[in-house]
Amino acid sequence: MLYILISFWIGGQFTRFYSSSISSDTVAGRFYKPQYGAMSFVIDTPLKQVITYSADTMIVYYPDRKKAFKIKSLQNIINQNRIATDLKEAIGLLRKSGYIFLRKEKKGDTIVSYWTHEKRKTTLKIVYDKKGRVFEVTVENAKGRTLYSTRVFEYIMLRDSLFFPKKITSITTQDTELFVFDSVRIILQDSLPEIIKNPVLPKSVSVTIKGFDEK
Amino acid sequence: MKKFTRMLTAGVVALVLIGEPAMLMAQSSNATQACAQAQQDVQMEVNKTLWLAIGFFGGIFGIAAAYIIEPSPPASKLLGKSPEYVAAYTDCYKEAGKKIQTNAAIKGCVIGALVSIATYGCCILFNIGAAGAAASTY
Repeated sequence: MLYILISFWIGGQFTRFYSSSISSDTVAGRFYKPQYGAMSFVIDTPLKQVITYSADTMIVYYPDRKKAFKIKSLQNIINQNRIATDLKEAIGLLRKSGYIFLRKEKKGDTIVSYWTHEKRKTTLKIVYDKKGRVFEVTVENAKGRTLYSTRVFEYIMLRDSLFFPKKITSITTQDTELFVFDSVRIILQDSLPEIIKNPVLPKSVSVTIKGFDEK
Repeated sequence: MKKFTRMLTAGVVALVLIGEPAMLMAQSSNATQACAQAQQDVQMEVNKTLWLAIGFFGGIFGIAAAYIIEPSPPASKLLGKSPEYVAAYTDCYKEAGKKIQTNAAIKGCVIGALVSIATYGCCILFNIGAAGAAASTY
């Protein structure tokens, strides 16, 4: 069933630059993202690491050190880690997290859509174009202070009406993150690395469970 | 030769003695940094308003939910981090997140209880007033 639903994946190289008042780092490797779902990572530098998902569990695996963490939560871990790369997915995620559509305005070639979350007391603005490519997402609190802002600088066309961002920056009140994607292409399920396709850890791996059923 | 071997052994032992605390210190500073980062990140990620509302409407069940439902760290914060960092970060994130959620839910619950008491108080006062007014007409 899952195989039919996730008919194709998007994959490629990535570099992530992160900076906060506490730390800063650069991470590089490969990424794999189902059409709609959380992105898995196979990291090469600064160390060998795999971050992937199996049902409601996030797996953080260190193949060289034969160690792994299984992180579980009663909250939806997959939705939490989804990076919406097109308008349909972004709107689906907004509705799922309780945002209500307010209005939309046309500004030149782009459309600006406004959303609100009554319980969170935040408003959200999405800037996108007619092709459904999202260029900006900004979240503001009730006082008009920007809590979170994401901008996409360039898109790669993978096939008709299927685009993928080339550069994404996310700025919060505490940190800045820049993702640069390269060699992005469509990947069939069969061509995925084994650990992403079938996230089962070898028996020799020492697994630590972190979550609601922690033992 | 014996003297040289003894000196070499002493040197190795000294290196181990110096190196071990340095390694332990590096691990401890890694965990401290992970914990500081987790505590900063969780402030941003956990939705206090939402948990306040859950406590307000859910009462004691809202507080229980805030305690049971542990927030999980976002994958992007664990990218390229060592197992020691991931372990410390996850523990601190969950602990700090649960504390924020529970505190917000308790505040919501107290506000909800006060609102209920005030509403009941008003109803009782209104009924007493109405009963008094009815008695005085007879």
